[in-house]
Amino acid sequence: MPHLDDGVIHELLDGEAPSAQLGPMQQHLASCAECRARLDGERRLRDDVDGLIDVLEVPAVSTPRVVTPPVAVRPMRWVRDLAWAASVVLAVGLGYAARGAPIAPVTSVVPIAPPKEIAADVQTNVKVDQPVTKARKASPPAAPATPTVQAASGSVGALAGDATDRRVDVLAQKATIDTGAAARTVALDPNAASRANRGAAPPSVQMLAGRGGGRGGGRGLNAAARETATLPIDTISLPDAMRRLGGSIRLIDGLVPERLESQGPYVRVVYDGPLVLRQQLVDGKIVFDMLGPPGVAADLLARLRARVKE
Amino acid sequence: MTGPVGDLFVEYHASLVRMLYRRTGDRDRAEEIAQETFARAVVAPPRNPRPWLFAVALNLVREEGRTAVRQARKLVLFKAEQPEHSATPDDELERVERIAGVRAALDALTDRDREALLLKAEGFSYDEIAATLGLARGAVGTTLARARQRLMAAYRGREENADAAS
Repeated sequence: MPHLDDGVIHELLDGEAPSAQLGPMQQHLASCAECRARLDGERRLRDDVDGLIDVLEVPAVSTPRVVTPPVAVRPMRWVRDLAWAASVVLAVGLGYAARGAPIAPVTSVVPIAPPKEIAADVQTNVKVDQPVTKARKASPPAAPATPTVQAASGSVGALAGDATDRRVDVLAQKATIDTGAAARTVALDPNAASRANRGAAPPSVQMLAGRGGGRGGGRGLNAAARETATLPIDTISLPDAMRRLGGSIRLIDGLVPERLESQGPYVRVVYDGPLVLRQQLVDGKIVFDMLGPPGVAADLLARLRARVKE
Repeated sequence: MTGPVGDLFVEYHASLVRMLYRRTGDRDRAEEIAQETFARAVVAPPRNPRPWLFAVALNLVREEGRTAVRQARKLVLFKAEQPEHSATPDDELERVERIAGVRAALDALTDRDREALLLKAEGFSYDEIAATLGLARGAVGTTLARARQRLMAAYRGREENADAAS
């Protein structure tokens, strides 16, 4: 009997060989080391291929995304410490000033940017750009604000309370500086919460490549990331994305994007992972970088980056 | 859906959607094509249901592929499904990369090779594969042997290219 061809070997492996041919095949295999070796090799191949195909499991049934309230971006520890120190100094100063004649209540109204992130964290109905009486507790608005008069009355307890309030104020203002426009969007538009929440992704999505895969001479996207991290994110269509990128778009070969988003000048192609291929048009060329989960190995990202195609 | 086609739905829907998802890479599209396939089965109940259902579904995929820009359609679909894995970021990206590699390797095959593999993965016998794809029964073993070899070669080739690029 001649050597077994590949088709026959796979029939054998799959248990599909015609029964009439089984006898001769087994006799041949018993006497032919080459065919036995091929049978073993093809068996491993079949098992490997079955394993590869099994990787393509059907994703779970779609479920509505849960829109969670925006998470406040906590200031760094040294900022908190500094705020505490400032509060104590302020409280002592006010107490010293209040030790003499009664001081008229402070009536000047100074517009202070509201503490958006903290307000969103504590209570979401803080009005943006609402004038706030100076030295007034920042939030929540539902609770009556502690009159400044109390702080001026010389009461140590009131001063202590006010110091706490001021700490909140300082923290809130710092948070405002840190978070910027995204937080404003949240406070202004409840429907934007989900978008802004995605915009707050940078804490969980780490910048993994400074430049567009070594291509393009655009500015460093790390710096750009800091500038745009606070911009709102919107889901956009493919035509819109391509229009923003001058009629083209970069994709990771072999991966199906979950959605397309815009954030400031960027188009974000979001994949499972989460993995974001971010790109923008610079001098007529698409410059891109990739964002992935924190702690991801650089070589993994490099392999995916090598698959980015127009 | 009740009656004989309802029974077919219960028996084959999950398998059909899985095969279609592997074929298209798009769960929503797989669901739509499966629905359309069963709708056609209601109109003309098949005598040999499994090969018939899968053959109709694969024909729908091919027809759709000819008349649409596949990538564009994938992109505009908003997929809400989230990975249910609690793996580490490295594991998760490994998984994503592996899926991408397998899908790209499958895409490198001919329709016949790819579909033969996917039908085999659904437990089809050689007779059923032959009936579904319109092949001679004796050609199924050869087709599968070639498809497996090409798939693995394509997958390993991509891995090596990616390693070289990184």
